[in-house]
Amino acid sequence: MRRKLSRFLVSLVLIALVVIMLYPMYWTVINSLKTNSQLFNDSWSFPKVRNWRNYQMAWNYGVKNYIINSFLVTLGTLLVVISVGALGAYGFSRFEFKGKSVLFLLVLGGLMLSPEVSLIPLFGFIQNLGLYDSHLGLVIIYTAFRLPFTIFLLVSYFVSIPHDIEESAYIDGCNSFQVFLKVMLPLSRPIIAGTTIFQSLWVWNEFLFALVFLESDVLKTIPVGLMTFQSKLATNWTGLLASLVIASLPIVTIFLLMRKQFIRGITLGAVKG
Amino acid sequence: MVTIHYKSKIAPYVYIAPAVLLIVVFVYNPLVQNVILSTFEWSGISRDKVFVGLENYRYLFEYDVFWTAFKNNMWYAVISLVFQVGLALVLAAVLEEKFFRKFQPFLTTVYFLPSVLSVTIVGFLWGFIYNPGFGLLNQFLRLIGLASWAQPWLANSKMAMYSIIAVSQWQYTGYCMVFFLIAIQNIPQERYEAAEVDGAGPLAKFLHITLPGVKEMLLVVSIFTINGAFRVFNIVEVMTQGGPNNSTQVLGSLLYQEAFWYDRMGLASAISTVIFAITLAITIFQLKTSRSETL
Amino acid sequence: MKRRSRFAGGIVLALALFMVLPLGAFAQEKVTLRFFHKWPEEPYNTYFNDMVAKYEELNPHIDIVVNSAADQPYKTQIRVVMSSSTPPDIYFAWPGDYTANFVRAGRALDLTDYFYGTEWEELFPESIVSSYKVDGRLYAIPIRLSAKFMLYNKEMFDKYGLSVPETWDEFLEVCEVLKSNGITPIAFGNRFPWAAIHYLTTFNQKLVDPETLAADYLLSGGYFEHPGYLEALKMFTLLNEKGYFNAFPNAYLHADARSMWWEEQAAMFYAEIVEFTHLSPAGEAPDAFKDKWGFFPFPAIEHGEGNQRFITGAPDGFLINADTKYPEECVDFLRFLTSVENAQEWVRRIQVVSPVIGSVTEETAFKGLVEAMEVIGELEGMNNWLDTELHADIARVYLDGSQALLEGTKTPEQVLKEVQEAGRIVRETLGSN
Repeated sequence: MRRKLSRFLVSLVLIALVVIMLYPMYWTVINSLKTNSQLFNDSWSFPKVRNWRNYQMAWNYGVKNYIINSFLVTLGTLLVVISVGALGAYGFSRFEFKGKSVLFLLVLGGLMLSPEVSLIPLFGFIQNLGLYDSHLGLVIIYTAFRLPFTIFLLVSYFVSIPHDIEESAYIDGCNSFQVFLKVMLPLSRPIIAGTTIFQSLWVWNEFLFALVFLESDVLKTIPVGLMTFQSKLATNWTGLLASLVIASLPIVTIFLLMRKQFIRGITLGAVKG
Repeated sequence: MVTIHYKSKIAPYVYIAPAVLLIVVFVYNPLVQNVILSTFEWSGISRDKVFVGLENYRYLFEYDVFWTAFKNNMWYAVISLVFQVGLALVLAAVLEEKFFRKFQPFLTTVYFLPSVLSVTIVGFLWGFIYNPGFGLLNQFLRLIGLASWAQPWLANSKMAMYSIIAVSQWQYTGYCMVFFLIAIQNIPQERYEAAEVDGAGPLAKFLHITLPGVKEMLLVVSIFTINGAFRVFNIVEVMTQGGPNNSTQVLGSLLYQEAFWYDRMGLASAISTVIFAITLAITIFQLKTSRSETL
Repeated sequence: MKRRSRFAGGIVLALALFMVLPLGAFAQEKVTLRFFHKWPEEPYNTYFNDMVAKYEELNPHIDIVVNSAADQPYKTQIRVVMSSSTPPDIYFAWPGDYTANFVRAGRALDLTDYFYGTEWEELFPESIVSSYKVDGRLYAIPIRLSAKFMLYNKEMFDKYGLSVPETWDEFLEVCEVLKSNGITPIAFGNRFPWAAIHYLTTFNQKLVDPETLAADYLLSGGYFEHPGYLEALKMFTLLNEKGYFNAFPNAYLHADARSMWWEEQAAMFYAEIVEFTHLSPAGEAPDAFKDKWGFFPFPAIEHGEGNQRFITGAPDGFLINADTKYPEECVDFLRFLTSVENAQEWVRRIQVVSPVIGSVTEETAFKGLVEAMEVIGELEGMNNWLDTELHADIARVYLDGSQALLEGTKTPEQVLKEVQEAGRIVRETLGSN
């Protein structure tokens, strides 16, 4: 009896948490379909007439661009960070060379350095390189800051791959780069997939660098673009709500479709560590 | 069996060069630069830098807004520990209970969902919820007869910081819970079965098996929660920009505003160095504790 | 082995190229001018783009690269681009210490000789241009003029038999009558505290005599010791304490307050003339409201030592970078922008005021704007924004302090003390450098 009661109470708490997590999102969606005055007068009810104009306007006013930009920056960063990271991890896990442990420590040390600490010098540096207000600048910085963790994950996976397959590849006359391409990479598909998910979520949502290093509205990614959007729309609240819904759709959809892989990717580092 | 290619002299350097170079140039180099820059007084508009020694730090430690920010970061850390570590662990333990396990996939998905959203989106969303006029929270309070509790959450300098911290708990408690779920799943099931044979209740099992079993993860999650609390910026920038009257200033937002609004670049660099020192201290603490345990 | 490293070496090379590529700027025959303004929103944006296109057509050898950012981001980004390798040749700055700051840093070209003694001078009233003088030299050409008016809901005033107040006491009476009838007298949004600064700018000017005010603002006089400064803070606090503002001003944006006013939830709203564009026939205000409103200059404070026939407001203008390679071309472009024809086009399209004489006419502007211009013409001078007039460190105390006053966490005395203290520190540091 006591057990049933406590189970009931715990269930109530769990359900309450579900409501707390989901209701704000539901509220955003329903109100994004209203007009401003409907929002002011009655924000609870489901809209009888659905006002899709908010969505049309949000999309045309810039959200479309922000999504494209976020996509480009994320894709670019992933390509570079995964390839440079995999090469580095290959070097660290498969070769003996002078200074290896120092260099590896240097790479791993990067894990503790947070972006805000380097913000001000980087800001000048990026300008001098002519990379201010460009996607390329962001991609390079994101890559540099995401490399330590990428290498950490990949090295810990690479060392678990037995050497025999490589041996036979070498005997077949492959050079070390071919071994990397034909043996290591295919064998590490799961870890690369996990790392990709983890890093894309980070890049997709990155705010500080994007805020400081991007200037033109046409280049902005979703997190900073929405900030400009707010001042553009002034008091068109429901329009802003619609833009929030559109901007979150890509990542939410991917999450819901690939829930398991997603969570596995996110928790990769902690499980390995 | 070590064959010739593992000893190759040049190849390994070529493989690691791009990564090492990028990290040295874009991660370490600015860090060192920052420490140097923090001993100068300079602005973005003018071209000269004036060497001032430790003056920026002296100013900082006498600057009341800096201490407000520091205190806010501390609250951020403490409250986050309660929810993102404490509550998240309890939730994970509950979801691993036999009865609740069948709901685990659904509940995990729902609780985790807020964390995939961009902080900007979450900040705006909660800005609407806290709106004193049409906001969900005040309307809800009026509905359940607590109208007197209704208030301008983000414009009340006593409540604003906690209102923001609450949003982070909403966003990340489920995220942290997932880490604990994995840790609990790695605890051998036999231990629980043995305890059940001995007649242990859920609380006893939690205290004597789950808690010791997830000790490592507890440390990892606590450290990244505290670290995150000292680096918070985005949510504050979106929701209040440090206002009203600096009551929601955190180190990150103060750094940004001193640099890019008030053009006190040297002071901003000094704030950066302080953030670095704090996060470094936390990391060293983590390394020390985890090493002493494994050794 | 050799092949292997060459292979990997290729990747490094590619990466290096990838990083260096954007650095290679190509030599250009053309004159390229970088133009940075603060109006990314419509209809301003199109206006500037069209003007640039028109100018480039007239001057085929000139290429103008336009960039823009809204108010708050502009303050950040102007610093960024100024220290970049491609600083703007022509850029925006608010008058007062904000401009002086660029002058001190050697970033502003002295325009005095380009302007005075030429036909250009004839186009502008001196009282407006002089806002951009630093130590007697001119550093910017104004393009837009803003001034503060109290906007009111005529229907509400008529309903309660109220007439336009001319003195502070009458103003308080109007507020009291409105409030006792359950109407919020003034819509006010101070989430970004420049909104409060506009009130304080007005009060300071009306209460403190002009010489003391100028000397204190320029840090060459006392340390804000005139009793008018305290009274100004008290008057502002009074409006809040009496409930003449809506509840929780700190929770709302200025734009929220504006729509509160035209949704008829409040009777008055202290607005800039540049906001009149929302009330013009094409503006976003509800159409039914567009002939229900009127405006008046902020009422006189009879015992105040300032000139009561001043209006709070300021021009917005463009500076030329002292480092520009093409000063002549920059000046020529600004002349083009401020020609009577193009200034009229500015008024016609945007429905805001241009300082160029003869630009605001019945033909180019809607009725409200023409009337406001007439009122401005009758007044005796302008009183620039306190937050750009003052050194940023002092302005900041006012900005933060206004939010504290509205919340009641600080008293006017405390805020003033902080202002005086900040003034002292700024003077010491400026003096020591």
